[in-house]
Amino acid sequence: MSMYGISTVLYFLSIGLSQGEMISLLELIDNRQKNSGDYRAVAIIEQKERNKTDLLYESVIYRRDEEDKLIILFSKPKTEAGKGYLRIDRNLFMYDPTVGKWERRTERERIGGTNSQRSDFDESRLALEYTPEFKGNEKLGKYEVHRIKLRAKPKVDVAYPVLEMWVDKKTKNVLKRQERALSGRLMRTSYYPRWNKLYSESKKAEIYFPKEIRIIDALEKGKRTTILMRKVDLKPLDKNIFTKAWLESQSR
Amino acid sequence: MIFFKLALRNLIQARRKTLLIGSALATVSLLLVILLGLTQGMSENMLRSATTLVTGHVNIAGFHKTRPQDSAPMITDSPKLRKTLEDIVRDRATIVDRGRGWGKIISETSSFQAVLTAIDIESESNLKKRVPLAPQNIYKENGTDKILGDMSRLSNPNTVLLFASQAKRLGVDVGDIVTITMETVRGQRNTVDAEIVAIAREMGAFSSWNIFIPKTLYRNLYKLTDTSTGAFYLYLDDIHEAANVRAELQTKLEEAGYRVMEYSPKPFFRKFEIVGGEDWTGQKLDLTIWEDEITYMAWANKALDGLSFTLIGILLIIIIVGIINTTFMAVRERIREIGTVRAMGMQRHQVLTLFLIESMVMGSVSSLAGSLLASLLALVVNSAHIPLPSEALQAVLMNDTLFISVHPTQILQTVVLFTLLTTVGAIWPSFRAATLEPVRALQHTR
Repeated sequence: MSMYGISTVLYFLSIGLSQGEMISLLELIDNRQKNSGDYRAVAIIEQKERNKTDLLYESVIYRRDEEDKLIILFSKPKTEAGKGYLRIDRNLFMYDPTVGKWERRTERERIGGTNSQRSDFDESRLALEYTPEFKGNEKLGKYEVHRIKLRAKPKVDVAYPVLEMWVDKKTKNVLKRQERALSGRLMRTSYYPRWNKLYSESKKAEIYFPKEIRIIDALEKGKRTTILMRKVDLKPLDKNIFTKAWLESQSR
Repeated sequence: MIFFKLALRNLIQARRKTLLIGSALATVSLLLVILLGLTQGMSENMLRSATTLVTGHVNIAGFHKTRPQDSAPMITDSPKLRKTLEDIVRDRATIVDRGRGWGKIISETSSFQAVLTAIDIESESNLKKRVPLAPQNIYKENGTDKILGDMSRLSNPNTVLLFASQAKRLGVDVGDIVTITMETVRGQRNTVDAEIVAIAREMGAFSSWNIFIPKTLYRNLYKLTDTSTGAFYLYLDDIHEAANVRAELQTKLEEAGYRVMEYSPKPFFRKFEIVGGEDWTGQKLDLTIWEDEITYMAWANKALDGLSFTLIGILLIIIIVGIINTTFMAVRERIREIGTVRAMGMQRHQVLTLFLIESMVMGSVSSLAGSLLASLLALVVNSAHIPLPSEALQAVLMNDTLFISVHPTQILQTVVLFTLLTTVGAIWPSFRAATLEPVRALQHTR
């Protein structure tokens, strides 16, 4: 084969995604995780940090994506039980039953003081919030992946203005994600080793969710957070669940 | 006058007893002055520390909201506001402006959250005077007693000044790099690597959560324009004028066309939630005085006041009981003497006066001696710079060394109080002495 022929083959092997294809891919990732009905799951959050006691929480996540509503209610350990977050539209509130008070928190709140954030438990909005840029096709372990760089759209409020994602070519699942600060500094690397799916009656389609997320803090060495999603349930939730009164009642 | 002479003679004649009771009184007054000095020292430290690190005497801060749910603690057009403030206060105050932020400071081994105070070191002459740098051995094991670093290097863009306990926690030294990470006004994460150019001595609780960075770094981190700042701090010649000046500024700034928030005596960070819940956008100013910005430390003052009140109360009870008992004993020992002077023609009220003057002289001289000794002790303790053993104690006493502040007014108060107490305590026994019949007194045998 001539040099020209080899170059042509290599070109077609490494050919990237067009802008339109990348947007479609982001929309696919978002839509697959979005449920038109309700969502309930048990999340186990574990954080290990150097020279500090390990943190281990169990919480229940309630989501109503159509109305942008989310609740994260802590159930274990006993000292944290009843503590919770309530997101209504763009407002995030935190309730602490020990003082019986609500506090407004930023969207970037570290959940329970761990390295996990509200966005780790909420629906995906990548296509809405970011503009993609193709970085290449790579191998991530044994997986063939697309590497895509995402930049926050102007006037959109997101915690990390720059993201990089490694998306499995075959399954279209996100396998790795890196989040960078305005300065370009790497802040967090998240791995999504296991994905699962459930059939949603309301959506009449399958809903995808990560069974496990491993977050590695890039600034604080040795700080690792693992989120395990258990008992995912897509049955309709009580209508009045996304209220301050309901969350308060859980600790009484 | 004759009674004073007689009283003095009596005291000198019974010199052993006088010395014994006098030293007891002097010791108690010494304790009282030291206790008052400690409370006063803490109060002065708190004022010094607060007005150096976290507040001016009067603060003209503000909130800027691009959307109703925002609550960014900043003033966007600072040169115009500075001019207005200068026109109002003229030469009554020094004006300094500082940026206010919140972030995480990360080293190779540890991290902590801190208030980021952004300064222009050139215009912070007070800060340079009031924040002493720490020798290396305070924050580093096996460190030397040399002071490393230079505060004036805060004029360089990516630099930071930490306090000793922070440097200890992070395991860093002058010249090391720490990472500062925070959220911009729009909630985006940003980071910067900053060089530690100086490490200062502890200044109590405020210095444990406060770090200094240059304004250029603050603006770069928060993506702000050159005209943005956090707050204007006014330092008055007389701090007691703070409330009046704040009220005057409130009116005059409103007259000058500024939107000023209703006065709320709370620190600025306790207003984020309230401001974030209000339905307005743009700029509003918020005026406070130094006491408002440290209301969260009021517990420390109250606790110390409570402790002092209890201890002083116990001391006073001991003194009163002691004085009554001592005077009773003195009267009992001197019954025959009282009989003699009464037989010689001394009237009852004159006997009463003589005993009261004796107690008064004893009280005043002893308490004066005790108070003067306490002042001397305070002087020695302060110049010895005795380090406080724990960080908790340093936080509460607002200093890294023991500081006792004794003022002439405290000495005067103690002397007056003790003289009054010894005199009042002697009234009842002296009255008993004065009412003794001369014949019975002369017949009294021990």
